[in-house]
Amino acid sequence: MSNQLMIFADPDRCIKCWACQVACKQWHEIKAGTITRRRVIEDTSGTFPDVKRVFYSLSCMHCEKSACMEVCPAGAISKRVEDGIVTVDRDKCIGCHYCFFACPYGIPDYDDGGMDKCDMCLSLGTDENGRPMPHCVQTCPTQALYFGTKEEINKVLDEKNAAMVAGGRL
Amino acid sequence: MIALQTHWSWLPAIYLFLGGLSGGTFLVSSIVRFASGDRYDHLAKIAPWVSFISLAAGLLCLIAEVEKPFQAMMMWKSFVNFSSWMAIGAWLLFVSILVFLICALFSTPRICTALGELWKPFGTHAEGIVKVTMGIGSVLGFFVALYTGILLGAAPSIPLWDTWLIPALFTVSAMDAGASVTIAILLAEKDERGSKSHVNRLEAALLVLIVLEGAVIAALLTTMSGGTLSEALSASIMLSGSLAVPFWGLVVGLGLGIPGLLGIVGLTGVVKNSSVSRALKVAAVACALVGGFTLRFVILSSGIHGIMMSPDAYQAALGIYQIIS
Repeated sequence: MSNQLMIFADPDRCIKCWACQVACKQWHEIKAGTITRRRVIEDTSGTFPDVKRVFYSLSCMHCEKSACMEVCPAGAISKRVEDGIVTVDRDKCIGCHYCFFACPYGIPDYDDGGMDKCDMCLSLGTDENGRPMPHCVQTCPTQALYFGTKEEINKVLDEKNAAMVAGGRL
Repeated sequence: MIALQTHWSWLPAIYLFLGGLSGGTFLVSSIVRFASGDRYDHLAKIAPWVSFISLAAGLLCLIAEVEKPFQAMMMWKSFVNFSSWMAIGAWLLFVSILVFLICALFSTPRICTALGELWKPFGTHAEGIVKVTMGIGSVLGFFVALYTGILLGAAPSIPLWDTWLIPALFTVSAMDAGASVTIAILLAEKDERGSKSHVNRLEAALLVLIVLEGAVIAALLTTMSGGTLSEALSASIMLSGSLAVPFWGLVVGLGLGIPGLLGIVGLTGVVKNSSVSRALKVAAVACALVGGFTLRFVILSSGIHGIMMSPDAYQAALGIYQIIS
């Protein structure tokens, strides 16, 4: 799908400030201590003094072949044709948790209303081109989250690679 | 210390166990009923009811476990996507419950008579109805047992469950439980001399099932331990981690070892005192059931996502960087 939208998290830039996680919760008015749509995870490797810490802002990947969609017994999960965003119809969802076990990243979270996950802030409206405006992307202080189609993100990554080769910024 | 999987905990473990118990009991008891010309009163009256009640209770556990139980009960709305094994299984269980119930109703003399008075053909064809439901129910029972394992195997992101050995294990375990329950019911039969031969044959079959179950568990854990890092870590939770005590103690020791030992004791006829011998058989049945439930519980609780505990899946997430480029 060439118009598939993505939010790509760049581990080179992430500083684990959690701004993306907090922004998401604030904008979606998620109660503290309940569900989480985006979480920052860390992979620590090596031993002192050669410790490496890598951070990653993890959320729904809106997979091309969504395993969650296939296992949902109620057919509550669907993938939009126009932009590939995977959405859940909470009215249909019975909260069986099967999608949690299908998702490679264990993303689905649950409350009384059913399953909840990132929808790229689609529920908060779209811009004049019909694109959602994910708040995690807008909030990230290091611009570690890239939003766009595959081609748009590749272009950003190419520029970044070129800058790195030239000894520039990450 | 690896955090255990808690999304599907006690209730789903009970549901999976009861599903297996129900299917196994119906299949094994039906085989004995066919082989014995249905001459055992207790078996005919009790076994189908055990299957019906345990499956109905299991389905209630499944519904109670979801976030919206009342919506889940409206099956025609909530289990509609047949690319999902959960939807297929829910309807399979529903049909099985009906078949088991019909068999139970017509296998119970008083109820059968009352149904015959309600509508004459019920009385005339009662025996035929029992035979047909036993036949269909046996096939359904096998698939109910198999389905409880397929449900886990069809969730693609849990390394421990991503193997055909899980459905195989749950099916053998279900037959094990079913044979145990059938033995327990036969022990109560009045026709002791007759039932003894079937009990002995069942005990021999149970020994084979116990050995087979042990072999499948060993194959599962050996495969996992020698697989990817995620698989090995999942297996280690049961072998040496936080679930080692329930696994070795309850699943292996109580669930397989003691019934196996008591089965050998029973078959060799070492214990002459019939009440002691009977008590030992009942103890073996109880141990097998505890072991069977605990098996499902530990398999569920050890089902951790690769990304949550090991670098290989996490690296795959970071590797999107390379894939996109």
